Amino acid sequence: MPEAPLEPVRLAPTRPRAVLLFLAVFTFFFSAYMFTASADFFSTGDTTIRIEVAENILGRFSVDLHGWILKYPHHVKKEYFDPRISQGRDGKVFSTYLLGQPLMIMPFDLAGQQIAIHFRWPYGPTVLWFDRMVGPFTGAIEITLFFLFAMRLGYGRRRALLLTGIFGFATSAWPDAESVLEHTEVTFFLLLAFYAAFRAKQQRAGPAYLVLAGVGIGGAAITRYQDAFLGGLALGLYLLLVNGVANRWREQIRDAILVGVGLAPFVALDLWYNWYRFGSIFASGHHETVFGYAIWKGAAGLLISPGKGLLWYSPVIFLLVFAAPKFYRRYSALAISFAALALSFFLLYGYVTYWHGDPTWGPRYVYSTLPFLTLPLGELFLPSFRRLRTVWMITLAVVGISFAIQLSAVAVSPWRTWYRVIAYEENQGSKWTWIASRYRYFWNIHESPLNFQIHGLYQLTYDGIIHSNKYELVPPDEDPILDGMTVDFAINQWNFWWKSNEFDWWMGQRKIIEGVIMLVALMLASGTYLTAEAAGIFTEASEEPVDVPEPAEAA
Amino acid sequence: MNVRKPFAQGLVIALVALFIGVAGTAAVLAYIPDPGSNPAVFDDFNWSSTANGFWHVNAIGATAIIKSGVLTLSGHSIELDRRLQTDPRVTIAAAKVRGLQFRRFGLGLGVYHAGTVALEFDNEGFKCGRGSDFGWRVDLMKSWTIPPAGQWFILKVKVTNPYPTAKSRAKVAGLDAAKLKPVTVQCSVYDANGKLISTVTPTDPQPNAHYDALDEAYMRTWDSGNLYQLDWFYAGPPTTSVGGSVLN
Repeated sequence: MPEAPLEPVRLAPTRPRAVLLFLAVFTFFFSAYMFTASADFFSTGDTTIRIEVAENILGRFSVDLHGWILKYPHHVKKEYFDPRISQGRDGKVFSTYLLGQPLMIMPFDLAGQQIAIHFRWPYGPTVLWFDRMVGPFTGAIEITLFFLFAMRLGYGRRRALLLTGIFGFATSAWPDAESVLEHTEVTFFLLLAFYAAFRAKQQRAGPAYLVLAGVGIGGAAITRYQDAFLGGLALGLYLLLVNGVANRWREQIRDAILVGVGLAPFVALDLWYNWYRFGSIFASGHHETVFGYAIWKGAAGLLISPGKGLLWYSPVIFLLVFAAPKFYRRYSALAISFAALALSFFLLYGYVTYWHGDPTWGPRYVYSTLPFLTLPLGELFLPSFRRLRTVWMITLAVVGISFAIQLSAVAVSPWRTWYRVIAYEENQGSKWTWIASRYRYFWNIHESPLNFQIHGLYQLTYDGIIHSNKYELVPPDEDPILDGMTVDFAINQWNFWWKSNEFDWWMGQRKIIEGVIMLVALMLASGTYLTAEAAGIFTEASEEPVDVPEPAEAA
Repeated sequence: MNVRKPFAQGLVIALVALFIGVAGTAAVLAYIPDPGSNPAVFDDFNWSSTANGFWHVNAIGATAIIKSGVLTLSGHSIELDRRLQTDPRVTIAAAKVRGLQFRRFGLGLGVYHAGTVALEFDNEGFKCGRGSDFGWRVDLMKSWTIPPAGQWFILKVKVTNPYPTAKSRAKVAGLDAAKLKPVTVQCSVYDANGKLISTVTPTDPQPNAHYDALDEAYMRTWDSGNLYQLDWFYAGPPTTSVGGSVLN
């Protein structure tokens, strides 16, 4: 049965109010994410390579890594080549990463170049720091889109804001944005695709929104094509279900064409990019064996393993037990396609030989499923659930625990946790090597990064309050791996950029104080407005109430 | 409720305006440019320069204490960096140092957070180190089995720009960075009276640092059991105002 289109839900009674609400949500989360941005802005090699690509495009209008020389000894098998870079046309070195994040980085890079000159700051760290603002920025637009989606699902302004707060601060979306890896961008584009399709099919927003859905899948396709592929399949399933599987085949074809129109330029860009780098439209530059891990083992590792399971990294997902049935009854097509999307991510990445994506914080490959697993939780704030006291108490506790985990992930350098994982392994008699296939901490609860990270939060708090060095990590002599980690990463300091001492010696303490005041003031300004909107202070008598009545079940 | 609503709305608008005003003021103040990096760094350790942000200090199981005009570095690993604008021709990093317990100490010039050229003073001797196409390499300048505990030395690293003038830079403006000439590094050690003990200009392999990239001076210890003291530290162009004539 096709689902009947619902009445469109308005963000606010007037367009200026809607724009103001949109800007306030974006400003609040961008300021908050910038305020909590990491001091460690030069250690993620993946991001650094993408920054290099952006700078090559800006400086030379070329995508090869100029000046890079890639040479392996003859005895090294292709299997062990660095999967992030590869030799391509004319012997030049190219990144195997796609253009999505470099394109997003370019405006930040340009701004960083001007700022470095203006402030007479060292050029390298200034530009690198500005480039890394792309993480908080994409995080903030992702959260803002999430808020719009929650509103359109009929949760009402107050519940949508509450749910957005949970998504923004009590799921791994927060540390993911601070990591400045490309998953935040992929998540934004996949969310855009579903948001636009939902608006087109269930809220009468017009066919242009289906083109926008294609653009969403396309944006993901130029960032991580495998994620876009999974997103495309789930979106196709949604369109199939919402139109009715056995009905309206003309509409199915029309929808597919509209989505295709939005997607086509991005696919063309991907194919051209492959051809330009490696001489074939299907060549990716990868030499390693990507697939072959036992799927059940990988998927279980990504979902429930103590060291890598998404359920432990974002425990709010547990609340789906209560919320999912209700959400399914209201939006069955959306619920099934969200579930299919999440399932496909776990199955695909469970099959990947480096399923864990380490070294990193949590199961980053499946972070793109987070908004789809969080949106249904809005059901918990509807009147029917509010009457269930036990559910509310559980919800509060789980959200609190989930927030504490995210706070520890952004407040303490995850490299401090890696130090302790390595030290644990060395104490067990193992020699540590940075080879992905040899990591084995996932199923041992004693060396779960979650344990170490939360303990790290306690340790830094203790040392900070008592002014002691009790928990300072000091490497043993002649241990180059642990020694390197203490030198390369500020693991004994708070990870917030303004709290560490990584900036004051080149930026100056005054600039840091002014920057912090600016960010906190922006958070307070936008936060005050959002609180007022949630409290209904600007709601007129003729308007619908802020906390709208429970929406009817669809179809 | 209706009577109170306009008041609440006014209050919210006033608060939002106030916070936006604060944010705007902070932004305007932040936009005023810095004076820029100093052309020279000199610290005679007569003030608390390790505590007030003059030096970036990254200590791991170590301490940096300033007392009676002497900086004492003790314990495990500690890194002190200071941003620096290099001289167009020649830049020096130098310090008057003594070891009381020897393990690992080095000073030099670097590229943000990465030591690039250094003079190491440790339990094996004096070493001139630099990054090269073959990784980090050191030339041993003087070795010992019993380190000279308590004896003051002046350690000097001198880096020369191969393109010191606007004319010479203009000639290579279009060249690939990989084809530019690297810097020349010279390491020298003097006794407390300024008498030369050893000097070396390493060429095998030659350093691969590029002069334009150098933007910091630093000193550091690593491994455990260090106890070093510094009387002064200087980085900048050649000078006669510090260390007698040895920094000229």
